[in-house]
Amino acid sequence: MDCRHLEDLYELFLLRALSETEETQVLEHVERNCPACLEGLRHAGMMLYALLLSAPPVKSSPKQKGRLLRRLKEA
Amino acid sequence: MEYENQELLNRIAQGSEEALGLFYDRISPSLRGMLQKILASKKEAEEVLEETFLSFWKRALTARSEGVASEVWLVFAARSAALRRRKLQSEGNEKAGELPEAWLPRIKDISQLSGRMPLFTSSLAQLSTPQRRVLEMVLFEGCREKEIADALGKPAGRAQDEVRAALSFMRQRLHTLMGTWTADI
Repeated sequence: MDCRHLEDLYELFLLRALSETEETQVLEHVERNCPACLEGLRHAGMMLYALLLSAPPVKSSPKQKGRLLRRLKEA
Repeated sequence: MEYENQELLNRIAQGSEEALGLFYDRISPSLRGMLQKILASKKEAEEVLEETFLSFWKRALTARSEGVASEVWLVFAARSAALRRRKLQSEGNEKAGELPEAWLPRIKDISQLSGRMPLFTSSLAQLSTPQRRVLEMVLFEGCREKEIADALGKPAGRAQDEVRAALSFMRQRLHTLMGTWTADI
């Protein structure tokens, strides 16, 4: 399966930023477990992970962490 | 004692609340930074952070995610939840932004990337101002290419070119840094 025409679309696909037509093109390959597209999506995910975490960090309060840990025990 | 992310994630999968707390200390500042960029309200960012960690905990206890980088799942799930709040989206369901296991990067790749993230993200400064703006709109405002064109009053093709050029540049930078692409850019 030739996927070269999809190489520029993987990041936008993961971000759900493509037009419906292009989204369907990628999805058709992915649903057939196309190895090149799955690998492309993994690379795209790695890059987006870094870009999404590029915003300046903001420290949470110990109070917030405490509330989360209490909710874990209840979950 | 300093644990590797993977060691913490393995312990979280075994139900260790202590490991989740340590992982929270490590990743929550970056995650909260992303959420505050998406949501104007600090309170909402806190709520989304907490809800996403709870989902992450439940998933970790049930999913068998061998070899995949679960922290990437966490980041995408948080982004998706924040965008739902921002847009008050009625479309899609709660799991719409969650990545299936098969799409998640491998642990070894994320480990390799971790030490290079500051260098990689510093490349954002090399993008043109319009490219940086459209990239921010895609990443943190959840805009589709057509919406970017409408919002900025640009022809659709021009907005699309700027988004894709920005992503292509960053992709090449990443390949170079990861040693999988050797062209001189």
